[in-house]
Amino acid sequence: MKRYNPIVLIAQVSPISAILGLFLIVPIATILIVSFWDYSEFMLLPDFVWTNYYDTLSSFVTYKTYLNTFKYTILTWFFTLLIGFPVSYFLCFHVRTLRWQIVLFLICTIPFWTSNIIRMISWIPFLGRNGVFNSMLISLGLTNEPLEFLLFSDFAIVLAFVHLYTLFMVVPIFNSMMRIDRSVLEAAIDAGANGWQVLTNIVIPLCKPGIAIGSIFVVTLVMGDYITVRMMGGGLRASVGVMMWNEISLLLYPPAAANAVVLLVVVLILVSLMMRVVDLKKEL
Amino acid sequence: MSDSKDVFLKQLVKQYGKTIAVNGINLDIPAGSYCCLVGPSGCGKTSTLRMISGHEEVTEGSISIGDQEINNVPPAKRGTAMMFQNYALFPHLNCLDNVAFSMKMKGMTKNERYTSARKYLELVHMETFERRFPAQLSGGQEQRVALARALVSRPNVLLLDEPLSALDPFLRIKMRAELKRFQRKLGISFIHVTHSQQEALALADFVVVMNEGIIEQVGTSQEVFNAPVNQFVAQFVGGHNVIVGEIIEIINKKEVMLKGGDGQSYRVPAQGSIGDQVIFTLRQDKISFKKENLADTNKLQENSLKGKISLIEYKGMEVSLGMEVPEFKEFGVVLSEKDFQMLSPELGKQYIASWSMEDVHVFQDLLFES
Repeated sequence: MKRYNPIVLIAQVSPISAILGLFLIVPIATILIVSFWDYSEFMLLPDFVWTNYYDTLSSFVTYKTYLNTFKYTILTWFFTLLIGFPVSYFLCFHVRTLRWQIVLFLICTIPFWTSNIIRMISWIPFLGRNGVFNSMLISLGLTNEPLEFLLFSDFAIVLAFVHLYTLFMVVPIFNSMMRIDRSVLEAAIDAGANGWQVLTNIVIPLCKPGIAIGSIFVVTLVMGDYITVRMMGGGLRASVGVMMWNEISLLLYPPAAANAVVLLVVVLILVSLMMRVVDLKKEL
Repeated sequence: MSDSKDVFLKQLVKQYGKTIAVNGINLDIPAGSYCCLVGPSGCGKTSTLRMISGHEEVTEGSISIGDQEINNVPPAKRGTAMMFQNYALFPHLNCLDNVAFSMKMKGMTKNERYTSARKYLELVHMETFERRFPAQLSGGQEQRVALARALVSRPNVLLLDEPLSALDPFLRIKMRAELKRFQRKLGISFIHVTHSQQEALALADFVVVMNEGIIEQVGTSQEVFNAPVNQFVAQFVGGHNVIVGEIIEIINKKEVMLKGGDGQSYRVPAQGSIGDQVIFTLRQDKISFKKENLADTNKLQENSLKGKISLIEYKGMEVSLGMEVPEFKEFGVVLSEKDFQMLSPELGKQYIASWSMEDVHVFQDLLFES
């Protein structure tokens, strides 16, 4: 076997090690350490106490908040998949030329050309009590009263999430779909499968990896979000992110850190469950 | 198993936008025969096959199987089954489920379909691989599974789209023999598309040579090889030299003397009047070959020509030689290994090739491409 110069080896691995260390290991380690610290009204007290975890896990509010966050996550996941899958399907199987595929794909990314805050804010005049949508409904005579649930509600939060994250579902599913050999679909038709059977027996199973990757994106993004929930919920709705943000704004860093660690563990469990569906290594 | 049925193509046309892929072909494929559609890429052979399978719409004309016209019948109801070029096995299903797929679509129970699928896996000697996924199989094994999957729907006609092209040369010859055996055993028609003339000649009961959307020749392998109808077929099938000459003398009712481009004279069995052009082919392995002697330099015998050897390809059983003769791109000669050893030709030296009139094949249409 060839012997490598250890200095060369270290030089080769050091850039990625430095990046991962600086931006992944150090922050997580800091959070982990701080989550065991004690605190008073004014200051953090380096210590090793379990009280932060105890407080977090024994509080009824935590569970309620997690439940609410799961609700947003599941609804967002469901709707992004419901929209993302047909969009990918259309792009992949109905758009015939590569040029149109690229054009339409770029159109899908247009929302990403602006910041997500702006994208959310732009919903407010549209959905508000005297907003565009309500005015339209009233002038069309479809309703007499403005619809209240449109803004600062669970509806608005999920709508904004779906708007923000559908593309994260489209891209991996599209990628999986493009890898399906067209002759495999023909072989299925040759074997007597109708359109629905081709979809359920061939296309969906072969898109599973894409669906799983998209789901991981959407679930992790929604689980950790606080800004969307705050803005679209009008400060009235809670999520795990909002809970942490509240603690931070009260300078309660150790409980916030403990909360973050719990969230991290929960998300990791969710991701590992989703990874079970699919052999990701095979896909990348 | 299932009955074989005749396939009839009548004035079949396939047009993609403005390009005509298949230009009004007529073909009868009798039940139980091995038919090879062969031609260079873009000749319309694959389009023809895909129209028969129902994966491509017919622009004009009709396709019938038995006494039923099937132009508008969906692929699975035609009594055809298709074996795809890269086998198109379902990558997420194991061999057993791949073979059982069509029965699953019909709503048969797991037991029924697995019993039947196992029978077909046994037929192709893949029964021990039923739990394997396509990615875990070799090319030859994939092909067998694809064959089992196609046969499980008991087709009257099996359609094969370049089934051997994904295999390495050694396996290709082995699987070729196996395909032929299966066709004999099952007694159904195989319609096999290939671009390899060797494959077609080896397999087919009859060969259909296509070019630019039309059928150039239909015949047994022997007919196509020994009596190509035109220059295209002769060149495509290979193993022939195509020679052009002008009639300079009418010897008798059946024979004429031609003059070649470089002063050679050819005596061939043909009719015509002086000045007409005659094209004939000569099998490369029917040529006798000798080194040029001093005596030969001035006058060349009839039915012979001379040139420098520009290529020697040793192939084992035989040796291909290329001769540089002015009016030919390359005049090919095939020698048996024994003759090659005896003559031991050298590159760059002048040799004389000669043949007897009986080994010449004259094209029917004399003024072809004059």
